[in-house]
Amino acid sequence: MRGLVRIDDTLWELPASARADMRVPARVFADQALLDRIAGDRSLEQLQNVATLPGVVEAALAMPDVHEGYGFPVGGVAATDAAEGVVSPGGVGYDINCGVRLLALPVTEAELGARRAELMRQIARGVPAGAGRDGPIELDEASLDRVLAEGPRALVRERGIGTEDDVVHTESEGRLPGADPRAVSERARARGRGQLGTVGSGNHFVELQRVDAVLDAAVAAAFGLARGQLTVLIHSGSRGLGHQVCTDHVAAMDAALARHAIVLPDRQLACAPLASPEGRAYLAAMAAAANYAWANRQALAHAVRTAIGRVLGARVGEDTRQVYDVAHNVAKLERHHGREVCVHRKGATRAFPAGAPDVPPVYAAVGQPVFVPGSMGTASVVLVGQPGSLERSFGSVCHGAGRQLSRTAAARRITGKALKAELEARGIVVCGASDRGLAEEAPFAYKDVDAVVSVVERAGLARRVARLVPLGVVKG
Amino acid sequence: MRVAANDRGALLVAWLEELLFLAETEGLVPEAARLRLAPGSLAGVVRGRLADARPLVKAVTYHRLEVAQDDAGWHARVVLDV
Repeated sequence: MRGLVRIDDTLWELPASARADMRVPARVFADQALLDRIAGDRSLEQLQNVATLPGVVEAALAMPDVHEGYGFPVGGVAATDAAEGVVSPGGVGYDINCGVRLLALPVTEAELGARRAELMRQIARGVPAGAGRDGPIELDEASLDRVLAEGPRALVRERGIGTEDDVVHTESEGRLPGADPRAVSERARARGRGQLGTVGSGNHFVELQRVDAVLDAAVAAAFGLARGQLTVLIHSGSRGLGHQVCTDHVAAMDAALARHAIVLPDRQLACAPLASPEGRAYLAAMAAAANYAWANRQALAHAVRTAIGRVLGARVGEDTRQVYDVAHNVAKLERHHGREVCVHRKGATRAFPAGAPDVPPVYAAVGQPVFVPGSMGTASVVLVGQPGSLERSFGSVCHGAGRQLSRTAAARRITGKALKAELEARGIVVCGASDRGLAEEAPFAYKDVDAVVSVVERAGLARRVARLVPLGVVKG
Repeated sequence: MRVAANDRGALLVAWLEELLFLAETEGLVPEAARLRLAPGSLAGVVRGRLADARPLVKAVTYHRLEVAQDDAGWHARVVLDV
């Protein structure tokens, strides 16, 4: 894109002067090859749009996995001043607190041996996948309220789903402050009531993996990961409930734009001052949806443990530990560079370094774990947050490999059946996906996760700890 | 059903959201609708059948939303999250 200035090895900038309506620069973490791909869609123009938001501070940021999204690009970070800035539901996305949770089994791939297919079959039985789909958990109104207000702790206390140890190994302990179940519409509740414990569709999955390589022995040991060990990575979000919360508040804020004297280049950026009734209502509902998403991943993890128990014995299920759970679609009030800001992360992961607040005590000495799933059938990477993230990216890092082909384009190039055969030929068990859903997630539709991770490492935002390779996947 | 919004684009989004909600929560596959458009509102009756409505639409967005009239008539663009 014209006007793009190279700042250093991994950072590029479109200055605020590039467009009359930009308030701050737009910055992209990328190398030349990734930048060429990023320039192939509208994500940089979208990032410039984000840079026009009232109260946005320092710069609108894009991670190397950035791609075009609705309004905001996916893989973007924007911080707005807590006193004078806005909050935008589109800056979080429809799937509020979509995120990933990593479980570590006390078993190696060698010890699992020939029971792999049976384990995948049991996991697939326990985790309903696909759009809609009723989940295994019945929630009455009062228990849904408690899940929205408290997150996974409500499930631990009331239903024995997961443990307190899981909760403390979760970003923000699975509970955003200020969550108000009353701010969640009846329609959102109706969509969410039956979906707890479900994977959903799109790029969501539950993947059985092996730790293929340990790249930082000390940190891997702190995370409880060793070469050859089995892990399970769960990728899901707040399901229909979160989509409805976003929908409700985009509409409410769109209708209030004139009253707040806000002019936007794209209606999907609809926003309202953080201190306004619309802003506060969204924050309260968004926090509740985020708590629901953490509870959802807790329920999925519980189903995975149950499946592990069935195949490998109850003890192995119980000894399957939660490494961490990170959100990658969320807005949080944090303190950066001496001021309170609302950090919008849409397709971006918090990556706090050692010693930062809100890193669980057990990881305080090494930093927060970050999980970056690759595309289906390729490696995922475990990272640890580094001080550079607080200096340069509001404590944020990438969230995945990032699409380079649209779902339609991917499905045109391969059938789900052919892809499944290809993955199974490589020894990866594939369960539960629709033919079309599988094709849309073909590995060639994504950027190379190693190239993406290499950029954030060189930029000092996070460091590689371990590499995980897939053994089986339940696709949404 | 009846929806209200400030402009035609938002009305279109609100109307499609109604259908999305009925598809996800009731399994309604809409087949025909009679609509009455008034300034700021849209009302009508939808007929359909109960079935497995797939693929489900997850959200109706305002992304690049456009409703415009030209010599050939009305045209609209709305982006769905599926």
